[in-house]
Amino acid sequence: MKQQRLIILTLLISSVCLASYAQGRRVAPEIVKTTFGVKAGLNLASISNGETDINFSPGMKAGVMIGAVANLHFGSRDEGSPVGTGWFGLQPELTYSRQGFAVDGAAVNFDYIALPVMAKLYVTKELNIEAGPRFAYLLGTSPETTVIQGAQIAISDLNGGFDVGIAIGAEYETQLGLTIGARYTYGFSNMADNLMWKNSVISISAGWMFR
Amino acid sequence: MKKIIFALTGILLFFNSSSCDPNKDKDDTGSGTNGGGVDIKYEMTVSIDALDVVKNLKDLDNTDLFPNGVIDNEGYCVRAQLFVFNEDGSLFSEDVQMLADFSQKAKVTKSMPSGKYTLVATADMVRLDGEKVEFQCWDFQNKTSLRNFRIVDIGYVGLEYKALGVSRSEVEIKKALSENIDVQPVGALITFFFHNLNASEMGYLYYAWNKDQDYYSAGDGTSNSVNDDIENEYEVDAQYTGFYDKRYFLPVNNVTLFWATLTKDIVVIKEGNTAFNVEVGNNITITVDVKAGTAAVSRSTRAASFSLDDIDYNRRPIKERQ
Repeated sequence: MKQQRLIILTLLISSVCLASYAQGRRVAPEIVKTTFGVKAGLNLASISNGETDINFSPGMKAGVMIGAVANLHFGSRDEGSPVGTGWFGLQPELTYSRQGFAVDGAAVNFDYIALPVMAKLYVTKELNIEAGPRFAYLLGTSPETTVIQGAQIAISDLNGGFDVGIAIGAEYETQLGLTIGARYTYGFSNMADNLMWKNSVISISAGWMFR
Repeated sequence: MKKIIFALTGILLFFNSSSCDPNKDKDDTGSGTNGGGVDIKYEMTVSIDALDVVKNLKDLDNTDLFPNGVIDNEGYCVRAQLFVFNEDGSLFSEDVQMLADFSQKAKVTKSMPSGKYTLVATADMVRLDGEKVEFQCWDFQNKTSLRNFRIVDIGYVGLEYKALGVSRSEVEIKKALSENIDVQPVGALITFFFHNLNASEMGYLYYAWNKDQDYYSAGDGTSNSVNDDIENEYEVDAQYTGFYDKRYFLPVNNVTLFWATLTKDIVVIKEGNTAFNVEVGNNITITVDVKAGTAAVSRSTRAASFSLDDIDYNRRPIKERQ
C-alpha cells in the first residue's frame, strides 16, 4: 500500500513537472502555449447512495477547493493569431478538494487530493467548455465515525481510497489571466466494497493564470 | 507534445488500474481502499418479554401464581439474559438485566457487525443481595459455545421460583434491526399431593422418583435428565392437607413416582407407583390416595379442594435431597 501511495504522489508531482518541462524545453513551441496558474473555489458536494441497506438521502455540504493548474493551449485560431489561441487545450490540475455530504444536519467530510485532466474546447478565445477524467486520493475524513439509519460507519476506514470520475464544466478566462469556472464531477468508484457511495461535486472557482 | 500525451495516458491507466481492480487489497479493510470494506456496525435492539414463562402457572385455587407477572416474594427478581452467538457458534456478547417482575421488559441495544447471529434469551428468578446474586436455581455453563451452552439445575427445590424460560432465534444483521423475543417456558410445574393419611395407623410417608433433570441445552433446545432416586420422607400429619412437593421439571419421559406409607416401626403399610411424562406446559398435579393405593395425574388445572391456608410452606421432608 505504502509503495503504491508513493508512486501516486510521484506521478502527481511529475504531472506538474511535465508541463514545466514542456515549457522549459519549448517542446513544439509553435503549436502549444503552456501557462500556469492557481485556483480556488467552493464545492457543493454530496454522494449518490447505492447502499440499499443504509437507506438515506444524503444532503449537500459546502467545502473548499484550492489548487494549481497547468494549461496547454494548442495551436492558433486562424493564420494570423498567435500560438495559444486555438480551439483545443488540455489542463491538468492538482487540487485539494473538500467534499462529503450532509446527513441529519451534520457534515461528513472527505478531503481529497485530486488530479483532473481536462480537455478543453475553446468556444471563443475566452470561453471554453471542458471535460475529462478526474483521479482522486482520499487523504482524510471527519468525523471518524458516523451513525446513519442505525448503522455505525467507521468513516476513517475510507482514508486512502481512490476515486476515478469524470468532470465537465465551463471556464471563462480574461485576457489578464483571471479565470472563473463551474464544474460538475461525478465519481465512478464505490467508496468501499461494502459502501456503495459515489462522490458528486459541483464546483465554482476563480483563479489566476500567470502569463 | 507526444511525451505529454504519453505521460498523461500513463497516469490515466495507472489510476484506472489502482482504483478499479476488484481483487486489490481485499483484506485491507482498515485502510479504506476501494477494494476493501469499512467497518460498519448496525444497531440491534432486542426487547425481551418473559411474561409467558410464568403466565400459566396456577396456584391451588386456580389463580395465577404470578398475577400480571408480579413476584409476591420479597427478594426475588427476574434475571433476563441475552446471549448472542456468531454464525460459528462462538459467544459474541452477553447481557444481563435484573427486572422487578415479569411485567417488565428487558431492552438490550448493541452495535453489531453485519452477519448471521443466534440470539438466546433466558429468564429465571434469582434472589439478590444488593447487586449480587445470592440465590439461583440455574447455573449457566459453557456460555462461550452455543453447542455446549448448558443451563444446569443446581439442585434446589425452588418451588415455582425455579421457572425457567429460554428462547432462541436466528437473525441476520445487514441493517439496523429491532427484535422482540417472547421468552417461552421450557419446563412444567409439578405438585404432589397425598390424601387419606391416617396418623393413628401411619408413622411415615415415603415417596421418591427415579429421574432427575440435569440440564437444558440451549444449543439444541433439549432437556437432559439423569437416573437418580430423589427421595423424601415425612412424618405423617393427618391435619396437613397441602402439597408435599412442588418442583419445576424440565421435560422428561417415563418418570416413576414410588410411594409408601410406613408404620412408626418402619413397616410398609401400603405402597405403589405411577409413571408420568413431563412435557413443556403449565401445571401437572399428581394426587395419590394412599388409602386406596391410586394415583391421578392431571394437567393444567389444580384440584380446587385444597385451601391455601392449609399449606405449610416451611414444611420440609425428613430426608431432603442431598
